[in-house]
Amino acid sequence: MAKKDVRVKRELERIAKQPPAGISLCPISEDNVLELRATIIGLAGTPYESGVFKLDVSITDRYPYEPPMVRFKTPVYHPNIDTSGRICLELLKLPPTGCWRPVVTIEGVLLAIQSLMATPNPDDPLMDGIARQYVTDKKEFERSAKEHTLLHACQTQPNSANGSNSATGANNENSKGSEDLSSQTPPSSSGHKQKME
Amino acid sequence: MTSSDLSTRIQMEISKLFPLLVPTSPDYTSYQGFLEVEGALFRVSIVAPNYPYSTGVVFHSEWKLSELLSKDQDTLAKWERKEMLLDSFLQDLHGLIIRCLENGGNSRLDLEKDSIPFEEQLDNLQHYSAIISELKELGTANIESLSSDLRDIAIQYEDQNGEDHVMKVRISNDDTGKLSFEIIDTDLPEKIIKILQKEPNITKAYGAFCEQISVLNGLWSSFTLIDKNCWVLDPIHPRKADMYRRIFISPPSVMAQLTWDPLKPNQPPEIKFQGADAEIDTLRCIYEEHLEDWDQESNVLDNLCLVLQLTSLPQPPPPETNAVSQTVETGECSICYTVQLEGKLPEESCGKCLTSFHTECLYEWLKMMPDSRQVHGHLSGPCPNCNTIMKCPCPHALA
Repeated sequence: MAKKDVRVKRELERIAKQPPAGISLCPISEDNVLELRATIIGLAGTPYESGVFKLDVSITDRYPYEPPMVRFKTPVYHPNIDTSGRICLELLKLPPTGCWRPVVTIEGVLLAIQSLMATPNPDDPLMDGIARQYVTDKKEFERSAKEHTLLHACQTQPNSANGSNSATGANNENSKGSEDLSSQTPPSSSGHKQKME
Repeated sequence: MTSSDLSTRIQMEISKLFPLLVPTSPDYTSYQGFLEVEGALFRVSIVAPNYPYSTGVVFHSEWKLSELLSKDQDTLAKWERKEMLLDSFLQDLHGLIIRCLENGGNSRLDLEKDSIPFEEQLDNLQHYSAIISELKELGTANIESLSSDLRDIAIQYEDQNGEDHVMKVRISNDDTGKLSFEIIDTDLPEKIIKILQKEPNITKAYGAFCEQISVLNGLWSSFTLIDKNCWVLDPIHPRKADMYRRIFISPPSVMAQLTWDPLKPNQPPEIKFQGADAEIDTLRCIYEEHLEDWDQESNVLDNLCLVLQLTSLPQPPPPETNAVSQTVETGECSICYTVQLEGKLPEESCGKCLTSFHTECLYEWLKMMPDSRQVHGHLSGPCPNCNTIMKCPCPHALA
């Protein structure tokens, strides 16, 4: 078995034994531990409170010498997360620009993302408009983020027919969302892979 | 004039000039209280063994006044020896304090800031009487503790199950002198505290507090059932105020967060699923289909099995004898997470944080670091864990 597979399996075992608060991680299909589905529950006291946010985690060939590729599948209204779910986080980049190190785990990355959600970094934005709003009108930012969370991350589906296919459900909801997000729907996972190779 | 006449006259004089100075012995040889000087109050204690004369007087004062008079100790000592009547002594002392206040520019300002003016003390008095009447209404039997300034109160309530609940309240008075209170600690959830906070006074808030506890008791017993019979992930140490539980539905991949609304404790919880898409989508469909079957009369575990169509919920794992050693394998490489790599053990270890690595694993990383330097068959660069510079032999040089 490849070195990275062993490591990811060990990480999954650890998470299963001591699950981190508000975070889950599991392979999308049983025979491939390199494509994972993570969820983060928004921390209490933040506009993302009790929203369930899905993320795609792809383990690259060079893992753990290179960070995992992590992307939000659920739209997030946040200065450091763009409309296609990309996350601006130093931990997800290699030195010298970033601070990824091979002792950091996927769990560590997810915890860092959970805390980035709680404390945005408007000085290094991916979404200029949202960052500006965060700085100048925090109340309005929180209101929008909360609304966004309710719309996309609260799993309440008006009719359960949509429930059988959450990806379609999410996209449908997305088109109903604010202008900002409907212009760009999250890319399919195939687009994701092309970029990796 | 008899000596007793003199004695009475001097005492009357003193009580007229210094109303806050009270004799503490029937023969007027000792006094306790305050000297009021230009609006500032100084706590003093005076013993005059030769009353009505000041000879041999012993004068103690709070530190601020002692500080103020520190330069005039000689004058004071002179007066203490001189034979004069006690009221004149006090008047002279009063005059001396005024002169000291006028001379001591900065220290005077400090005194004005620090000492509480007479009027404010009266306000405080009203404030305290207001608190006391509030406490009377509340009944002292339930008061668990009271701070010495009467501002922090802990009120206790024993529910029908004999369990104690405490509400801690901090009292303050606004500009108009009206009492207001803030609930600073209870075992109730935030949403309920907000409601209690709207009550007009502490007694009403306490009444509502007791009522809410009775309402929430059913929910708390549900939580106890879940904590005993389910594999609970969060919260690790549940408090009474925690209105949610995250539990495993099928470990290790599917979990659900159950959240109750404390304002509607009899309604079924909101359930959010976490895990692999396919599994949670199926679960959510089942849940939505059966949610209406939730029966308030039966217990929470049966209800959960019913709405999720499970025969049983996953049991908590047996308590591990040594949880740490299970998850952090001692002696494994912190990069590849194995002990043996092609028969080799993790031989490199950071001198500072003691994290160990296989030579190959560490070399692979240091090779990528722009700051690493190769010197005499070694590569030196930052430790992947703590960034301290460490050395790693080049594996090919070893081979």
